[in-house]
Amino acid sequence: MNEVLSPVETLKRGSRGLRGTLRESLGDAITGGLRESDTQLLKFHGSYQQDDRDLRDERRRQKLEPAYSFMIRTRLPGGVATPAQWLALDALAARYGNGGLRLTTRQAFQIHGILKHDLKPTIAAINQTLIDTIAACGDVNRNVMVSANPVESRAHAEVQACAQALSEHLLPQSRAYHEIWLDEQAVIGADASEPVYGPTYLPRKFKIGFAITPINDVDVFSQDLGFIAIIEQGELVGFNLLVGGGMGVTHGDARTYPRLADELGFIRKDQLITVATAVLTTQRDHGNRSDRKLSRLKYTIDRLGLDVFKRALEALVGESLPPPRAYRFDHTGDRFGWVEGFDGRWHYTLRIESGRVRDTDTVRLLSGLRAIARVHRGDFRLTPNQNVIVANVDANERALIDVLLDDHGLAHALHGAAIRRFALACVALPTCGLAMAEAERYLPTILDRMDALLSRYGLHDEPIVFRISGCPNGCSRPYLAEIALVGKAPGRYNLMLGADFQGRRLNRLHRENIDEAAILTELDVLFARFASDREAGEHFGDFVVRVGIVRAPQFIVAKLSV
Amino acid sequence: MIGPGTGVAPFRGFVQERTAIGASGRNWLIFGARHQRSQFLYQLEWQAALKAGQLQRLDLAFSRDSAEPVYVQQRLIEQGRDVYAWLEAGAHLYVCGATAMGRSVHAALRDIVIEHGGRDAEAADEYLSELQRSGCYARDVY
Repeated sequence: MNEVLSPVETLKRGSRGLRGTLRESLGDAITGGLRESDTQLLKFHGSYQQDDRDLRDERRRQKLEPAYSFMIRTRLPGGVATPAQWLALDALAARYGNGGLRLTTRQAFQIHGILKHDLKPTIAAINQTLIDTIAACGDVNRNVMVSANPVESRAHAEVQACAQALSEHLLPQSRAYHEIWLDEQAVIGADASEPVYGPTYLPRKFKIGFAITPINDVDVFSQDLGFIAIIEQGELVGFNLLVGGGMGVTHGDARTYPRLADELGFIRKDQLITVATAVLTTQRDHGNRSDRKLSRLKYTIDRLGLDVFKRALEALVGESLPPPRAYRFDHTGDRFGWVEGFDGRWHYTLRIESGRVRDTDTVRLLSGLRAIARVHRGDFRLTPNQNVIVANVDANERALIDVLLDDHGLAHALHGAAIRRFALACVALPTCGLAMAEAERYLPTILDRMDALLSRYGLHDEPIVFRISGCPNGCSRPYLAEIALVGKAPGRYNLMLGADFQGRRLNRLHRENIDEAAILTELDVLFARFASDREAGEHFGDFVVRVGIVRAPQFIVAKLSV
Repeated sequence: MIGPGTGVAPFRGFVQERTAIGASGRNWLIFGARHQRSQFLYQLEWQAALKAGQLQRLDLAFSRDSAEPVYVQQRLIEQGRDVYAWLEAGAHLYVCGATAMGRSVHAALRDIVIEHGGRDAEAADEYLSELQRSGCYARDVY
């Protein structure tokens, strides 16, 4: 590739290990934001600069700059946090953030609304709880996902350990983070090089997920690098290796598309780090560094050809990969309420709409989870569906948790329309700079309206995967939803249909750039047809494909399901 | 120009005027308020002025944004050597804003003249009085 490099590449190379002029930017009181170049580098440290978009016009009239604030995201492999960590983050959100926590679709905590002069104290305080924010954003490996609460818990602990080891192995080595946020003394030559990433890191973000059958909550086919844990007789024997998934799309640019990961083969446990590093470094060396819209691994694979990619990988790994092993996925959702683990301990999955932990008059998630964290002796697991599991509760402590849930109006969080159960929404407005339309703030309304339609046809209890994104980047993984709304302009969305219930098929564009009235009119027609013409037990996504409402999606992945 | 809070109002005009007439001298503004995010009056204009070279120095003190409150007089003290150098070079110093702030700023100037001007307290007072008499040190406090 002899084309001109993207300016971000030059910025990374010249950043002295991701230091840039962050220190100076942080100390400059004339603005609540950072210099443009430093906003790019800040991502590698786990934070985004944002501004309150609702206030932009008013502030300009007041001769004030945008209402800048910062979002901090934790690195938390598999979303596992201790009660002490939960309480610490809750307190930090109250003190430095705009109150409340967000649980992301990649099993991480986010705190929003932090002012520039509080950024360092907040990051320092997070690190004191033994959580860091390194590489939670930026052109690096992101938060490693792990199925939150699978049935085979014995193997889960081992997979979780694998994920943690991989996350640490793929961390940037630069001491910039420790110098800037943790007051570590700079040592000359301490981080002369990045052994895995090199001086310009990756061409783009890189996402890894571990799925533990039979639940595909991590949406393993959406990951750049996916691992399906193969468990035989309760033992983890290895992983199916998946490469090249990715959600991001640019409206109107047909060179961009969502893609499902390809299954390349089976790897042993001991090969995990080697193979993962090989995939990442192949992307590092061959990914497009000129046009960031085409930088993700999925485009690299399609450009090189899957066979070429596989051979390059096998050459790096030093052996060829045997074929993938058989497995089964039932769905991508969470199992709400109490579930018993293999060891007699209990796990309670609590539904948190859009992952937004806060208190309303009737539903007090923030204070409820705080109260639980104060007495809980197990841990918390953030799920890929923006929910949380109060995990590893001893049988004799269930009652106490139930009382606390009830006291805070949380006991009925799992009840209600089935359309709510699997719904995901990205944050979008007012803080996300990329949002074209509402997502999180609109979800309650659109769910109510969809439920009204579904109820008309007796479908109130019909499980359907619905996801909404404020823009085509797809942070809520909309292209794997049976029904999705992808924001295009204020109040207008692309309506996507036809993914399947296990996250193995992409959906298709059904209607473009329509408003709510048109969305509801169309869904009304579709739900009516579904109610009358569906086969027994057929899911909505499969139905719309079978009867030809959407063309069979292009990227069906052949499965080896049992 | 020392003008925390509403005291910044005249200095907006000063800088605009000096820009309009092409004045060659340098401009130094010290501004303060409680919170940077909501009370940085005319922020966009000051950012633009700094960038365009219409303002050479800008110091800020947002008293409630940090654990330890910081006020405009602290910014003066921190840069006492330059403040004294500017005065010696004929700069005009203007203070506008709350009466109490005016008193604190005056005390800070006095300390600066003592430390960097090598004068004792009495001589420092005389130095500042002379500046006021000659119109080089003007205050509008309320």
